[in-house]
Amino acid sequence: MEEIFTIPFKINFALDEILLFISSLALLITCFWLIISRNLIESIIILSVFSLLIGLCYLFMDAPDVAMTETALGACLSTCVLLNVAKIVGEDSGKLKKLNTLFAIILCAFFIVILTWISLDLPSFGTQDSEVQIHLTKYYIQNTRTDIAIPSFVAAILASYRGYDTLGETIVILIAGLAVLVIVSRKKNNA
Amino acid sequence: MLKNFIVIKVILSFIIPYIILYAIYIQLNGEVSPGGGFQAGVIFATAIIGYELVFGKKNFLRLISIKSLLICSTMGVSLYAGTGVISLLLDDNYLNYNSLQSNSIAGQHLGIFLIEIGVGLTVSSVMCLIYTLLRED
Repeated sequence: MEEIFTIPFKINFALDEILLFISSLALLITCFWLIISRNLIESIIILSVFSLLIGLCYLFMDAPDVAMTETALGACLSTCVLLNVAKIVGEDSGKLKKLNTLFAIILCAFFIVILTWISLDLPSFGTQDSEVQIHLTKYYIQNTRTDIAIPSFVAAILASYRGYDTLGETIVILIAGLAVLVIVSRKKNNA
Repeated sequence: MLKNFIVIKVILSFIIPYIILYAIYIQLNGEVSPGGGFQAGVIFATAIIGYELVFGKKNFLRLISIKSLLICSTMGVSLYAGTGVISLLLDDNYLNYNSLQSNSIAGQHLGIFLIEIGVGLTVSSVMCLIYTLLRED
């Protein structure tokens, strides 16, 4: 039972960093492509590529749970749903009007400055003694073995320590499905 | 749909069982490996959507109706909440799984297994529901 709980050492640290850097760069390029694109279908496909790349980034940052969710939800499911919606709405309605470019550039620059300024306060990636890590995370890591005795800390926190939160999330998902059902069925009744 | 794309159709219909198998694997191994109910549900929903892409909406609705999807999603939430109610009836806090079995660790395992199944059921059926409703007739 003991060897299950040993946390594996990070293999190929340098390779991990390089891959993360490359995928982040590809992510930035995708974002610019998304801004430039003026076609609805093309934008949806680029969004799917964006989700795939950010899933890769999560994987290289040692978060396989998030990567799995992002890839399945963002790259596959939401793309299918959005493509169907685009088919219903029609391609022409996706064409944008000419925007005020100067105003948009000023607004974007303003947001870039503010977000960069705020991100200076964030702890750097992977630090052990940041504010978030010192209180509860320590408790979970020390007590999961004796309280719950499963190897996956994420599952232990999600299902047992934070059971109420997960119940709320599940109910939110159910309500989202019901809301879509109500909206679509009302439109069909009116027509 | 996909009437003229034989290669995509054949490959999709070949790969769907493996996607379902992978979803079941993630659902059952949520305690030892990354993933859990939510991830398993989403992956299962992608398999169902792949089936819909290959065989069309008519065949899909013959297999899975909207009513059954609704029943499944509600059943998942009630399984989750019902696990909490059972521990409430066994003189414990709501959603505290220690009292589900005589051994507290075995109780935790059973409780986590049950609620993960509830989450997976809800997520997969709600994703299929949203996709089916927004599908063009």
